[in-house]
Amino acid sequence: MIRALFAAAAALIAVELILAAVHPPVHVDRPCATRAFFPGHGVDAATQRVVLDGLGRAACRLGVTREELVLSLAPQTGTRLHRPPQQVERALRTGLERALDASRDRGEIPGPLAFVLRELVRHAPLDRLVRGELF
Amino acid sequence: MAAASADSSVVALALPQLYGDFKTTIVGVSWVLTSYNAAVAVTAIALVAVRRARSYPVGVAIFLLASAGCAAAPNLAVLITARCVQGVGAALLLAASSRLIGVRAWSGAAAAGVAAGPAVGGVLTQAFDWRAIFVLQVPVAALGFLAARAPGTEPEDRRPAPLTELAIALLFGALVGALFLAVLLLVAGWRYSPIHGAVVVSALPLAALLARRRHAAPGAALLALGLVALAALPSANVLFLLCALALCGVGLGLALPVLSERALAGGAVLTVAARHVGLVASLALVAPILAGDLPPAGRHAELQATKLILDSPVGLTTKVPVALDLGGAFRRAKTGEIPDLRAPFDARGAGHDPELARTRDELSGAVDRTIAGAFRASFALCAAFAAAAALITRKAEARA
Repeated sequence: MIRALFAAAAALIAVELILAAVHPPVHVDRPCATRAFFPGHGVDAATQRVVLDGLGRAACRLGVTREELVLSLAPQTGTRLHRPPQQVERALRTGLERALDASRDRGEIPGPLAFVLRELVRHAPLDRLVRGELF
Repeated sequence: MAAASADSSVVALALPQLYGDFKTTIVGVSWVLTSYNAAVAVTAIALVAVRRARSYPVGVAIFLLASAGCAAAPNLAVLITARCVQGVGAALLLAASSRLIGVRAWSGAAAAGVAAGPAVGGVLTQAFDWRAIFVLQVPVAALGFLAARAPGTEPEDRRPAPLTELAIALLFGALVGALFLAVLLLVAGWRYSPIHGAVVVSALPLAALLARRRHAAPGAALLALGLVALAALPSANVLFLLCALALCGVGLGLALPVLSERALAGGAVLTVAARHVGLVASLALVAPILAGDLPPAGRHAELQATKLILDSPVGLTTKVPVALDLGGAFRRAKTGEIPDLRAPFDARGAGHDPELARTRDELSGAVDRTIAGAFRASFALCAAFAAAAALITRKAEARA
């Protein structure tokens, strides 16, 4: 009976270790890591591609992860980037502008619309930009 | 007797509620457990040192009054003070009660009390309030006075067994993992209600009851393996936790009665001291480890959740409100509330949106795995305690 119990314990631990290997932990990408583009067609998917690409570029400029940057934009989360707010805002606007240019170059956004959106990115409130409300 | 033993673990499932009610820290709330066990250990050691006769009625009276004090405690400081007094009373009554009920009944009641404590405490906490745990102890302690009238005998031939006492101390240190950590993981980590948590942790006392044979060293080794299985939990799957707890229970059932009977040959008071020194030492080591591991895990879980939400292939009109709700849930978690990370998804239609449901499950699973990972070092430490108990027991048996 004792041997059977030890065998059961060993089997349980082995199954757990195998399952842990099957479900690797979710890794938060390093700043400037290359990411796959957000999939899908239509306005919503194109908007998310621009916002996510812009956030990634801004995070890269600031040397933080994209997730840390997003959390820092919601003050209630308590995430601080230890960067001057002006630097964060500049990085975000620049990142979104570059993302718009890239989207235009991929043929997702017509040139005149890209121009209008670039103006919006330069002057609109930052929180609304990040939520994709202005695109 | 069983109530005094159960008090070592009975508040385990109430800890999250106490944490929120008193707005304290993990280390602060752990003192509700530690103070009681430390008071029992110190009092028992003092009783050994002064070789004084133990008074069962005095112990019961102190325990009863202190239980009422715990139930009425307006703040954490008063609760911890009352728990210390309760521990003094418990040490007196535990040390004296082996004369009243006999060695075998004493060791059985003590093991049953400690093992069943979290389940009883969980049911009372959810059905009423954490205070109900202590309110219930008042009439139980009053009934304990009746036992004082029964005549009792102390074993004549006292043969202290230091190695066995050390093994018992280590075994109880290991129990911190199987009882307190498993309960905390279920309730504070995986968001089980105290009653559901109580049902799950009942696997441990039930398995202990089923283990009728008496194999001290293999039992301690099985407890160690059960704790390793808890440290290696691959996901928030309750089936794995149940199996690991059942292993711990079987190990406990095999090892504890026989070790207790051997140790009781040296007198109940030594055994009481050994058990509670083990609990206190383990709590003192585990609480800071957990307090150090949990905040970074929570922070990492927040980043993982953000990544999964950002990359989720759902529309912006769903993604943004869900993200904001999740941010609120994580914010409330920092004030002691247990966040429900599935609710924001369910509120936005995860029931009929497969992509949203997939993101919900992925996010919830990743966060649960990360939180379980924060308990790994603490479970592993408890497994080391049990493994050491197995080795020492084997050595003691070889000598005998």
